[in-house]
Parts: sequence; structure tokens; C-alpha cells
Amino acid sequence: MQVMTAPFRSLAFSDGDPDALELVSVEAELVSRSLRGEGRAFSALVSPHLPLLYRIAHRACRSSALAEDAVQETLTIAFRKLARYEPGTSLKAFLGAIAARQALTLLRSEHRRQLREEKSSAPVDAVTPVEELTARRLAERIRTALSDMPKKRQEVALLRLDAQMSYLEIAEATGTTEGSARVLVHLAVKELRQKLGDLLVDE
Amino acid sequence: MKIQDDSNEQCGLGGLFDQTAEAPSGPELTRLAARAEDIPTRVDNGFARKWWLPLSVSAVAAAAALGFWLVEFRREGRGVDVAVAARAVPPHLTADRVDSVQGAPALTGSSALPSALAEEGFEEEEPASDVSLEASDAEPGVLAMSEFFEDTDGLRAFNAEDLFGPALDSDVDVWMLATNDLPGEKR
Repeated sequence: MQVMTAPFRSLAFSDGDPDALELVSVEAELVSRSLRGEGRAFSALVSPHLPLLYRIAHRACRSSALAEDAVQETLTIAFRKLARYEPGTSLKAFLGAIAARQALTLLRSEHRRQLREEKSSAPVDAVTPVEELTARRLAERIRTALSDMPKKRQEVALLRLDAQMSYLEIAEATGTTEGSARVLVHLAVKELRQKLGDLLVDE
Repeated sequence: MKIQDDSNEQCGLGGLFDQTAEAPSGPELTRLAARAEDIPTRVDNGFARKWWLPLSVSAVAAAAALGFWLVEFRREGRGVDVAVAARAVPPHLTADRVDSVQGAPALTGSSALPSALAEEGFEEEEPASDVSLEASDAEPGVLAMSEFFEDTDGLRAFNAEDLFGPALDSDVDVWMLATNDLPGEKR
């Protein structure tokens, strides 16, 4: 099978750490079994990363149901691309990259929806507690700030600030070099600070 | 481009992102894990749906189109024969019988075959003229498909020996009755 014969480029492998080696072999086994159609193996493979995927998805949309659907879509794409994944490299980066791209699509549609709602001047839900309303508005500000940025910056911002990936992982996820990832993150952070500066001061 | 250390800036933004991040609840995590478990099967099915089903549907559609085209082709080729056959129906047949003959495909002299033969260089016989058909005492050589099988079924229902005539004079009436429905024995 392709996955089993693929050369491992894992840092853990090169370190020679026995625990890391065992993790790599377990991951390779799970990938192999998933590709043979074993649902449980795929679920076990991705389960540790579900909170992260959910967080990225929820960043882009306001509803939990939509976020769940987005995670499922992400997992479906991940499964289709799983044969290309090399066990031992960062599965977090592999899944995070797909989730970030899904989130960008969601962000765009969510932004359009928000604009429509603003135009229709829908009444604010009066039963929502003040704290919840504030949090929702805050999240909305971040969402809007993200969606106004160029696509690549949105992606790295999500990967850095929501998925808390390292520059190396971001580079792997976005298919760039570590240096480029640093530059992109820097630009994204700078732009976000300009747009959300008042919120940071309040903090 | 010189990248300054923006770890402090990132910390501030990271805090803001953490503050507004949503973590999945227990039931949501369980649901997500269950959905993940279904994906390998679903994606396989999706592949089948995506490729094999459209291919099968296309093949069936193509076969249906070919069949329709063949039927149409044959019908066009047979149009003249049907018209001739309709005119050849003797006047003693009732109107509804004529209708059935006109509506049904002719059994004799399928024009597709002679046409095909003509294309291959064989001589095609002249079709019988209206006059010769009308002059003939015989029943028209064209029967509706349904009538043909109806009559054949009727034939099967009787003993073939009965066709040679009754053995006894007392059976003449029965014999007449039995053979009344056979083709060519209408009175």
C-alpha cells in the first residue's frame, strides 16, 4: 500500500525516540486500516484533533450545527486525501490546513449573510444575556476582520491563532517555506491588530 | 523584509481568539466521532454514486434511445405497407376490426427486410396492387398481432383432427361451430 511504503519524513523518526517511533507506527496502522474502509480506525485517527477542527470551523460560522457540518466536510476531504498523508508528519497540520480552507469558504458565505442581515435590520434577540451578546459581537468583529483579509493571511491567522501551530507546521499545511510562513503570519497579525486594536486595549 | 518579534502582539490576539473560541460539548464530540466513523463507508458509496450510477444510467439511456430509433426507423419503412394493407381489408369486415388492423403492426411482408435486400442488390418483388388484392377471395394477408395470437390460441384449443371434418353427421354442427373462429373460415 502506498501509505506503508511512503518514506517517513518525521522529525520524531529522525530523533530516534522510541515512543515517537511507536506513535508513528500506530498512526501508520490507523491510516492503513482507514484506507481499507475501517470507520473505527479513521475515527480513532482523527478524534484527538476534533476539538481543534471544531474550533476552526466555529470561528468561521456562528452556529454549532454549521460547525459540525463543516468538521464533517473537513473529515470527508481528509479521508479522500488520506492516501497522500505520510504518517509521522504532522496530522494536525494536515487536518488543520483542510479545516482552514473550509473555514475560509464558510467565512465568505457568513460574511455575505451578515451583510444581508444588516441590510434587513433584523431585531436583536432580546432574551440573550448581555455577556453572551457581547461575546457574540466580539466573535463577529473577529470574523469580519478575518474575512476582510487576503485569503492566504486568513489561512495562516487561523492556523496560528486558533490552531496554535508552529511556523513549521503552518509551512507544511500551506505548502510554503517556514520563512514565508513567518512573513505571512506577521502580516496577518499586523492587520488584525489594526482592525481589532480597540479590543486589545480594552483587554 | 525584516520580521520583528511579534510574539507579544500574537499573545494579545491569541488571548482574544481564545476568549471567543468555541469548544465542542461532550455530545457534539461524540456526534463528530460517530460521523467520522461513517466517513470511510460513505465516501466509498459516494464514489460508486459518482461514477458507476451515472455510467449505468447513461448506458440504459443510450440503449433506450437506440431501441426507440430502431422502432422509429422500422415504422417509417413500413408506413407504405400499412397503408396498402389497410386498403386491402375486405368490406365485410366491421369498422372496429379495420381500426384494429390499421393500428396494429402488419405481420406479413415486413418492408424493412425487402428494403434491406434491395440495398444489398437483390430484386424486390412488386407489391400487390390494390386491384389484385381486392379481387382475391382470400382473407387479407394482414393480421393484427393480437388477432394472430388470439387465433393461434383458439387453434390450440381444438383437436387438429377436427380440421379434417366430423366423423359422424351428428357432429357436423359442433364441427361447424368449432371451426367458425379459425382464420379463413369466417362465414
